[in-house]
Amino acid sequence: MWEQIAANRRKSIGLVISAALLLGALGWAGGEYFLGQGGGTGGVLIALVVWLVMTLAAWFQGDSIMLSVAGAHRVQKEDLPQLFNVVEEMTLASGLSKMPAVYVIDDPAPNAFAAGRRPENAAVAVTSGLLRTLDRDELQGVIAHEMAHVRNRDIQLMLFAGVLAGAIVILAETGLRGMWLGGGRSRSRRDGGSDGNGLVAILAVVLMILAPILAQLIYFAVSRKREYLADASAASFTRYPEGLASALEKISRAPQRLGGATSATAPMYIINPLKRNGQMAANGTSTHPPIDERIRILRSMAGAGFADYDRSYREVTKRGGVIPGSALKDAETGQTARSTGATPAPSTRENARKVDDFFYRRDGYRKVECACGTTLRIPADFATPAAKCPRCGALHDLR
Amino acid sequence: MKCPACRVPMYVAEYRQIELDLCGQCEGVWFDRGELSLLLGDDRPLAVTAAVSEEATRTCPLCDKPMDKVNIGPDRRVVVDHCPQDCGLWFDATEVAALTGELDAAGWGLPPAVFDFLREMFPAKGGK
Repeated sequence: MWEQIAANRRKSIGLVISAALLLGALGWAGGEYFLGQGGGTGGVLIALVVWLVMTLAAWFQGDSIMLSVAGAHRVQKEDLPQLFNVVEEMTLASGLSKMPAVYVIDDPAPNAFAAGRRPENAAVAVTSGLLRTLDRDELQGVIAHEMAHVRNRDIQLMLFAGVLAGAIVILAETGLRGMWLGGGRSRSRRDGGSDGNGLVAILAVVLMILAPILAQLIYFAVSRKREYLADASAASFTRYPEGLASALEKISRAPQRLGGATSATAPMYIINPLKRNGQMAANGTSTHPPIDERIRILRSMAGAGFADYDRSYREVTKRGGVIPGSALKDAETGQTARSTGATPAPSTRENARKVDDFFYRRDGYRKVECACGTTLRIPADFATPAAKCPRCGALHDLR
Repeated sequence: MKCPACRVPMYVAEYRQIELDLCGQCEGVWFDRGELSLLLGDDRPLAVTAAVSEEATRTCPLCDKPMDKVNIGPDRRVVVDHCPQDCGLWFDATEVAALTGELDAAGWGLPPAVFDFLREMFPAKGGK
């Protein structure tokens, strides 16, 4: 299994290197244009410094920024035991040495993502909508998919790819703006018929327009590749591909849209939070493969191993395998098995109430039990001094 | 969550592990999509029929989109607000009363489970 991770990693790293070369070329052309002939090296240097600063910021702050932008809250075992159990099980199944921190986002749109720069200090975050919608097997599939991202070190790679793309976009935009404002020492210094400068200017403009688009395409290509491998890993960790397939189906059918997601963080989620459901075909600008295709691949699997996923991928997509052939020689095919939890799974309603309870407690809601069997929950900023039970009409004094 | 009519924070009432959001001022009721799904064991969008109404347009308390007026009562007598993104249903207080005032579930444009739950939650209001 390590082999295909390594092979996939090599491919992705190839893509990241092409993005790095693009950054260098952009820096060089910008340097030649703005700093005059021979300024290309200086331009590359500036590009490198911008990239380095952004990378360091992302490296040390990236996951906490991502978690806070998404509005994620850390939970403990007593808050949401089922979620915690599933994460524990999948930590074991995936062979991670340390269980990731568990976060919940209060959002009705079902979705999930993983964050963290090393598998040892990773985090998985799920929305309350996800917990309310999915049963245990489905939740396990989603968590397994996220654990695969952690274990395959996808988050790290996506962080680098994302920052690289971001640096290219920022440099190109600054460069273009500088040109509109008539900057560029080379022009003022021009003392007649230096065609080289004209050529450099054209090259710089073309690069500044094309580089951000290319950078995004590379970023998205890296991201799409990782999704298939994470799906394959999830099937293998859970031994039950149907769990993830049915979860993806439910998530894609959900009507709600996720708040707190941006195009930069979109590739981190289990399905693209910015696209409406039923995204038919993946194109260059998709962060994720089409969800119907992912579901069909999972459902056509004969077993739960990597070889099964690869075979199914070929059948469904009519493309070459997604998992490198060299790695498949000794890859196990596996029997599917329905997960058996140690404790009987609570009903969906019970589960939904547990999730809500967590957020009510956190948001300071007051719990009032009415004699008729209704439970009232009063927000801290409730305006009226009494609350009426809708069932029996009893007035509950809140002062 | 704020009441779509009065813009004040709403409180929550839970019965049979299903929650409704209620306004303490106007006594209107928000039936959330998530709760409808829990009740119906199904997350397909509600089938509703568009209605024409003089009533003021309300915005969805979740997504802030203007809600559509839809018919749910027999003989098209009861009009409620439905979020175009299917975040949920909003009943004004009079609409809840009309709902619970009818004895017969037949002819209502609501799934029986939802109708029965609302009747159980609001048993006394304006009954015949």
